[in-house]
Amino acid sequence: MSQTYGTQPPATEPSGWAIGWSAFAGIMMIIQGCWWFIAGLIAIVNDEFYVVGQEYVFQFDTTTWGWIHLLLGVVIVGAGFGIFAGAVWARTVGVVMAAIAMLAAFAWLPYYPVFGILFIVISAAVIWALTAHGRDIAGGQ
Amino acid sequence: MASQMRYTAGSDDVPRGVAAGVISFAAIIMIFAGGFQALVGLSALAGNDIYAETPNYVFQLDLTTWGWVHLIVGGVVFVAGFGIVLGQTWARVVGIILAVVSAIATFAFIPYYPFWALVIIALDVMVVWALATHGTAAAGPDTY
Repeated sequence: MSQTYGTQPPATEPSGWAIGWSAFAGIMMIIQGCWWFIAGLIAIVNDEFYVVGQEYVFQFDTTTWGWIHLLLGVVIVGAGFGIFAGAVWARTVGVVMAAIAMLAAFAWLPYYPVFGILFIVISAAVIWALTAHGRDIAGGQ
Repeated sequence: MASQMRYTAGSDDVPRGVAAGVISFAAIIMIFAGGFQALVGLSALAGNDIYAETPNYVFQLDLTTWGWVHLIVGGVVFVAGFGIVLGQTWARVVGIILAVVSAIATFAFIPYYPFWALVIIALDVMVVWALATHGTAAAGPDTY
């Protein structure tokens, strides 16, 4: 695409393309935050829903994991809406939150692998969208 | 939502033809995702035994309730997909919102039938990507 339109001067306005990527990242963060909230709620309400092997270094109490999930979910949704506000800090927070979410999801994965895989994949998509395309918007300021 | 942000068609990086193609992609994926979800709902309503028992589950709604949720959400996504095919700009914003709703509802349904749920979520993510990144470009005036 840049070959065809490479003669354009550097955009001073955020391009629709870059805004679109940020919007994608924000929406993915909102979705993922809601998922974390759901996963946390399950752990808090239903002690016996999640099953894990007997010896596991990250084997916190299920309820503890539940609260971690719940709080992370709220923070991620908040950061997702921050992306829509176009704030540069929200982009940084978004990348950091997605990285934390990825780590937590990996450690938590044995409890419910399907949920864990979804969290990791979506976090990776968020990081990619924000790092590869977020700068386009910041450059316009 | 993206269409309400600052945007001038001339500064866009994406050729309009490409954007229009991606929007068509989103429409077709929506038709499939909606259709799949409606089928999931129908199977639940038909009282089939294909869904897993989920004891101790906070979202353990009656299978009939889940069936209606999926049938309605899926049906609306399906219709909105055709709306995008017909060039309705409103359908793009609605499509993103519907894909979000579908992804969240389907996540809670994962324990019942993980693979169907994963397929629907994957398609929802594709829809959000296509509509968020290319929705404004295709909506812009034909300046190229």
